[in-house]
Amino acid sequence: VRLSYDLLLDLCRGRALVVEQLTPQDREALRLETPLTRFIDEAARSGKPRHIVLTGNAGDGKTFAALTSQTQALSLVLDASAHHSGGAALSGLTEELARRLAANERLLVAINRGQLERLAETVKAQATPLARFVADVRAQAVLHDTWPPGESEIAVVDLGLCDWTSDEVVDAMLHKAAGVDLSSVQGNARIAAERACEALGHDHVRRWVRAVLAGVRGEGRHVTMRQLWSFVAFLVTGGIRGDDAARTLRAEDSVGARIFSYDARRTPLETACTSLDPVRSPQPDITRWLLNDEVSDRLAALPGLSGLVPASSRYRDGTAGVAVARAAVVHDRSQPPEDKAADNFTALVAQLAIKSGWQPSPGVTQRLLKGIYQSLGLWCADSAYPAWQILCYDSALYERAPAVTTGEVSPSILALALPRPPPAAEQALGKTWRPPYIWMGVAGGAEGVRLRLPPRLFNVLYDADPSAEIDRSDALVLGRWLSRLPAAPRPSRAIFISRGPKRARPLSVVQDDISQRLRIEDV
Amino acid sequence: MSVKIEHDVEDGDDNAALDVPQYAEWGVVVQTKDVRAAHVANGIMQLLRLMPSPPPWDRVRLEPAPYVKSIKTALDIALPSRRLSDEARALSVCKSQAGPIRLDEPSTDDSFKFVEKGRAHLDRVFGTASVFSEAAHHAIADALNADRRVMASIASDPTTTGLAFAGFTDTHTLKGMHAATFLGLLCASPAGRDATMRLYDAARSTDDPHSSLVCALDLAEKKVWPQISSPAFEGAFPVPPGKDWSALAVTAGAMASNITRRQEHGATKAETLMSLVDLALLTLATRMLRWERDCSPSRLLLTLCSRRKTTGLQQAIARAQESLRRARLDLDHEARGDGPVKTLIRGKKNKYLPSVHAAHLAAAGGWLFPLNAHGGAQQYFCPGPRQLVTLAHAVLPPGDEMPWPEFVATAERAFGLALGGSDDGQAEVALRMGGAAATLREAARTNQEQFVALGLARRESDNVVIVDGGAR
Repeated sequence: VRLSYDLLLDLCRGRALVVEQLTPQDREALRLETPLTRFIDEAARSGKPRHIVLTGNAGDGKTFAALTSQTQALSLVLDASAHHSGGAALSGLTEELARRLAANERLLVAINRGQLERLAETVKAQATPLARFVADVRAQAVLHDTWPPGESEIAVVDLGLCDWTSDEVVDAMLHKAAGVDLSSVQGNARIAAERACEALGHDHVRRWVRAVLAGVRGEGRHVTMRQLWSFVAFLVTGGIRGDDAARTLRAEDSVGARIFSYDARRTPLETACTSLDPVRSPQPDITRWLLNDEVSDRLAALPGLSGLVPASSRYRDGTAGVAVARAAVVHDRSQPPEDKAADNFTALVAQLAIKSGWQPSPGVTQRLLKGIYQSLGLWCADSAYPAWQILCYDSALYERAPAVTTGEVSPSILALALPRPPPAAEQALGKTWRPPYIWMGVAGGAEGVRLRLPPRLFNVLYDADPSAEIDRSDALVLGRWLSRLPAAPRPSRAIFISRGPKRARPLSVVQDDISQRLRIEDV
Repeated sequence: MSVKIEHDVEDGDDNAALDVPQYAEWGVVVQTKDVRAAHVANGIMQLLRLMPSPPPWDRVRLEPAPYVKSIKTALDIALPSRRLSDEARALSVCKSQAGPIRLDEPSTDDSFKFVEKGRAHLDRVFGTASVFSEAAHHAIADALNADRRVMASIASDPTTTGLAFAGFTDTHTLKGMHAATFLGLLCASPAGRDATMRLYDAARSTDDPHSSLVCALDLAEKKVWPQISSPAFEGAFPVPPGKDWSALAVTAGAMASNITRRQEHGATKAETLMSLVDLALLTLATRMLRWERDCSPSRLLLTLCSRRKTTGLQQAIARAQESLRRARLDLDHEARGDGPVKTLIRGKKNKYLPSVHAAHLAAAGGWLFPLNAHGGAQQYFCPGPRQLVTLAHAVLPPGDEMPWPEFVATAERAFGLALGGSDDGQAEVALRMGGAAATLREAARTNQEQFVALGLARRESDNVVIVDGGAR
């Protein structure tokens, strides 16, 4: 089933937000083949697991996935977001769940994470099958480094962990969007849409789309399915009505210009679009074309731009010039986006995802440890990692207080672990799940000495970029973690004192074994 | 940095008589300005030094002044060297009003006798004082006196590392009853007594780096501190005789227990001591700021963990400032008394108002921003990163976790801090400010961000925040 232009336009304008209000044909047109849909279909057929609970953020596609699955074997329960009954929605949901569980039905539940918490609060004092069901669901909604073996009756799939910006999903979506049915679109609106579809059929243009989405992933931000569809729909339609036949076509109507003019504020794409924008890097050739009025000649041959850059236009004014510069780069096969290797966090996640539990990774942990010392301004050497501690009661002076240590941390005790969803959820999400952080701690994962490293902090520490400053919160987190690490005492009763960043070198206070007198030395 | 040490504003008999009702209502005596965290820490250590036989107190009519006097007498008997030694002062202070203090250069016109003693001490432990360079002196002074509460004269509260190294200043350490009240609250409940025992054990241990430094420099008190069991702390320190103290004691005991139990999960001695002092100052400050005559405390104080006054937060910060300002005004109004009700405000001229004292305590613990209200800066409840760690670890038992609304509700009950995101309708009423619902939502968002950034909470899908203290 092909997508209709009007549906894409609604997605772009944020009108087709309630999945239940879409027609079955529209839902089928939007349906993508993902590991999740395969998992639900397989579970419906095989009977294992008995229940499936889809949870996550609003817009992650829980209801959509549930509605578009072959669910004859599973009773579909949609949460309060699907109803318009106000405050009574939760009680309605509670009653429906209780009734279906009592009837021994298999359930496919789509429920927002926040709603699940409220449901748990409502039933926590009860000793009913529903209360046990909800408690099981909540227990499985938590991430662990390892899950005990054994199959659970319930598979809880948190779509908030799903990386919808993975190439598999994005390519499937762009493929669908590029094949939109344009029969109802007229005149210049149709030309613009045809050019957009043509451009999105080219790999080099898709690489730019993927680069923007990879930028979001590198920042550790989550893009919902709804936001992604909205973005793709904007690339195809540009928000132009299908009956706007007399519209004047301009360079702004090209996919290249649309990628970076995506102006839905407060979406995760905003920052990535800005950071990758070709206009922000010097383009002398394009500047020369603009000044010499050679733009239309130069761009006419590029795929997806034919008819969008009229010869008569002058492109020296800001908006038009910017659009031309974007289009000229994105549509030009010889100027692909910088092919950045996957960011360090993503690469490490892929490596750690192979097996569960705490895994030694000496190269990474030692580099992170050094990054921590450097960012805190504390002294360390290749062979010595003092376990610095700070004691100062006055908050106003705490950050300037010196650190003192009598022991050393051994980097070999450190290990990394991935917070993982339950095995069934991993299977349901395929290779597209992504944890919000990784753990660094002592091998074995003793609680209390685990450090959460979200992508931003991980990349700052791993790259040890001296220009990237950490904030007060990060400094406190890192300092507390460092002081909690098990440290072997130094045999000669040496005490190091470090006076903080960019100040005097650390001192050691050492007791002489023979004379029993103290010595003070520079380290 | 200079420390302003204020003596009593007026020391007449009438004012002395105010000690008893002030202590009964607020657990502190409002006459000593600029009580800092280091003073409370040193006060706690001095009191714990008296275990297992602290001086008895009159459970019916406790009078702070005689009690403090009895404490001092007991310390004089049990621990003649309770005051900071000259050697420790010499190593803790690098400058005076007369200029820098050098220990590596003999000088003929030393203004301070302690400097000579310091040199002699260095000669003994290092062989010669001349090896003790200026840089070394600064580094060691910074570690021993990180709080800057030891000075060339009078100020004698070092950054205490425990029972073996603590100082004492007549005006600040015990006189205001801050440390005694906090320990008294802890000792009034079983959980609190367990916490006090663990605090005592931590305080007497010397295997942490700071205590090791003190021992290596031969500055530690040479005494074997006895091991003391939890029941021995029952009634060891006074609980104010006023109303509602037993409920506060149960809360404070549970909170302190949660903090001290974290030592079994990797928390260091330094972290535990600092957290307990932060907790003590929060408990005492909020007791005062929420106090009303003949009523249980019901007022909430809007709390916003952001120091940056961004456009989006301007209104929320203004409301948080207003929340604290009103609490202060109401405290002073209630304390003033009317008709037959006796005033609790000391002095007729140059009044040192209870609200000023309460704000000093909260700021000293790092719970307000800005920490210093000089220049008329409007303060508001804005806990710093370390204080948020204290709050999370106090509310959450180790290994436990709570959804954000439950955590906020607990913090509201315990301290009256409105973090937003629980029952905002009820919180709006308790804040006593109209139209605060939007502000509470903004506060919840900002506070959640800060908890997540500090690793004290995790953000799950759909912006669900689970406070787990960073254990997971």
